[in-house]
Amino acid sequence: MDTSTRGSNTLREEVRSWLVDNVPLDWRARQDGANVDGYVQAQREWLARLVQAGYATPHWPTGWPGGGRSLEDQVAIFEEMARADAPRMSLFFVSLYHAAMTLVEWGTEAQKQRHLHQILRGEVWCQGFSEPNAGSDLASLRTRAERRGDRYVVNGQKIWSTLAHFADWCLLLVRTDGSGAKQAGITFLLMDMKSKGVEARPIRQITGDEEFAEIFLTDVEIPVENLVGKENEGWRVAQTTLASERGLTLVELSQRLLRALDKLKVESQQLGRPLDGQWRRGIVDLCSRVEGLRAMISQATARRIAGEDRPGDASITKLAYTGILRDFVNLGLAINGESAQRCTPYTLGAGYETGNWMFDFMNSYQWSVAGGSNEIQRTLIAERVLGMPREKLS
Amino acid sequence: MTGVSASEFGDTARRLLSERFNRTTAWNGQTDFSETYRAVAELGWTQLTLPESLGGMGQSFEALASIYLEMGRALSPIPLMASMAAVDALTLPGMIESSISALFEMIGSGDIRVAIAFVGRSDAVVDDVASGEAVVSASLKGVADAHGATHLLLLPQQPGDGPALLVDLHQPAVASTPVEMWDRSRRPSDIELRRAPARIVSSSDAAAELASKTARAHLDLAVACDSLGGTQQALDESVAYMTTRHQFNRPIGSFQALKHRAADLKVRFELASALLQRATAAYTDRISDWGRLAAQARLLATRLYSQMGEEMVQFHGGIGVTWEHDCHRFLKRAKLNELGGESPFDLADRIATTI
Repeated sequence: MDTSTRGSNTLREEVRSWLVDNVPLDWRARQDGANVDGYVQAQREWLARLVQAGYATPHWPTGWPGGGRSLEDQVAIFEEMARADAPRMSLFFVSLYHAAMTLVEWGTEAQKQRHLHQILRGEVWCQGFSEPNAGSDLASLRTRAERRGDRYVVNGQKIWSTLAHFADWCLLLVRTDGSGAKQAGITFLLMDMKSKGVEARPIRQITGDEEFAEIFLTDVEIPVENLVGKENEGWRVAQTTLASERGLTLVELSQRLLRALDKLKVESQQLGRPLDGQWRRGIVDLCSRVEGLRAMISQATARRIAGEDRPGDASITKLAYTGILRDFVNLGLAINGESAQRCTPYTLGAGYETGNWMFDFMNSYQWSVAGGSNEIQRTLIAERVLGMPREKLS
Repeated sequence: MTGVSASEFGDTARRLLSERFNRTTAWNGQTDFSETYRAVAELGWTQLTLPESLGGMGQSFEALASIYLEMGRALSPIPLMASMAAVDALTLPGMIESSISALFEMIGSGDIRVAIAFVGRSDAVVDDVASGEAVVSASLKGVADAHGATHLLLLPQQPGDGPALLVDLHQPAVASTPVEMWDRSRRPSDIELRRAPARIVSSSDAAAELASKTARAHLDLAVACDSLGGTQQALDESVAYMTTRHQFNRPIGSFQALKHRAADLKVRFELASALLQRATAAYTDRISDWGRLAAQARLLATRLYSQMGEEMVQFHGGIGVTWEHDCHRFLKRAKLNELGGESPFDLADRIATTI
């Protein structure tokens, strides 16, 4: 079943006409790579507009502003945003999804009241999960927290934290017990990034951008009231955090990929010479795979709406997307030749439609490495979906 | 593994194919599948999508698609696709035969079997066009499902390439020579038409064009179904083998070098299946870009099947390169699905005109 063709039509029209009036025409110009402050400012203004319209939080529970929308409606909003080429909400993604959904499911009433309102006003959150020696094997994390009276004292190092250098708060995983199974001694804390002993250092990536950061933690004191769930039971809480965006990112990104392909078709015709047969076939190949990807995502979403999720759906769509994305940017590079090797401006927060093929190519690794590398996904599909024998892991 | 389509027709077809037909028959010297064809006609497969007004069962294309999937799984040699595509083309309004129930009754009973060829202006000479009749000369290579066929439906390759023509193959002006292929489950024929009388079956160029587009989309989807059915079976069998075969004191399927490739095939399978499902639904209701979607589904499904066939041999190692094992039967059928009729380059160029 194709979710984009059923239901939600009134909502779609409503969102569409709202977007016509509200997408700032100059957003790309204001979010170019040289201007980080402009990016932050533009993101803040965009969040404020979305919150006011109720489109920032369709996934929040009923009772919260904008909340209580069905998954079908959430899909409709994401698709319409992508179709209208609206800016992506990158700076607030962790706050609106990871932080909010974790608090909704596991937070105390006081934690919810304190943070959910602030998130709507632009509180920025980051994730303190990965460590230099705990990437794919996240549960082996070693950042220590010791309970001293009514606070935890934390020492250690986190890495790959998206936009942590802009963050007000952090979803932090720490080790409180090292004696048993590695998943058993993990605790989930909320950490004020302004606490003494917290230092966030941006990491310059192969794109030249600084989207991720390291977080160094030296004797950081966190009040016990910031504990989420129970001590030593943080691994379960973390599963909620990791599942919080529920594949909706890919609904949006696959729609944006379709737009980007249209751009590539136009671009390749503007090169002023007849389109090479191999390029044309490359475009046919990608159009067909993007068509398949969209069908796959829409069918997986329909299953989820019907409560019939299949194990591995998320891994399968992610792997499919990363492969298509890499091939797409490589084709864009090939068609544009040396001109794409020149340093030209690009637009932050635009996904892969930055207007700069090399940026997009370098940035495509973000999808095949982050959020569970392709290799982790393949093992998961082989073992949990195909039922192949497990590897011996420690 | 969950099925591509779990319709009732598919389940019945799977049971019948596994009970009655051995997938290696075509490989043990049998070349004539007329009896098998009659057997499935008796089961109603050939009447499935024929409108009830013409004595058929009036089922949707989706029901037939689930049978194609099962035939692909079973490596079935039954030459069903062309006749069923011909039914869809000939029953269109604007086709002269569209209301002749006698013709369709005989297709339904299996007495008439129709092969299809798409011909351009340079491929065929059509003369003496008068009162619904014409005379055709053409030399056609490797016409699919033609061995044992009684009729040949000629459809225009491009718009304006002429009318749709139906040729009786049992006449002196026709020489039909079956061709042995590497994939022995398929037996196309080379057909020589030497001033063969033919019936004009389209009432206008537009009708001929739509008949051509319809038959092509039907065949694209049929080959895509066959390919994904075969891929699913080949993947299931490969996973089962890698789970039981032990080396170095562990099942070989526990090695990442193998399991990651199986996972990649599964991802491509899910993608191609999703597209095929969308394309099948679009063709059934003739909505959105049904012709383009069918061609795209074929492109992804046939390429995947070919990759799956290659990997299946490699996954099985030594046993995989023996004639006795079925790996090569999947690989050869996959290669013919990918390369037969239209090359992958021509298929891509055909899609390019629609995007």
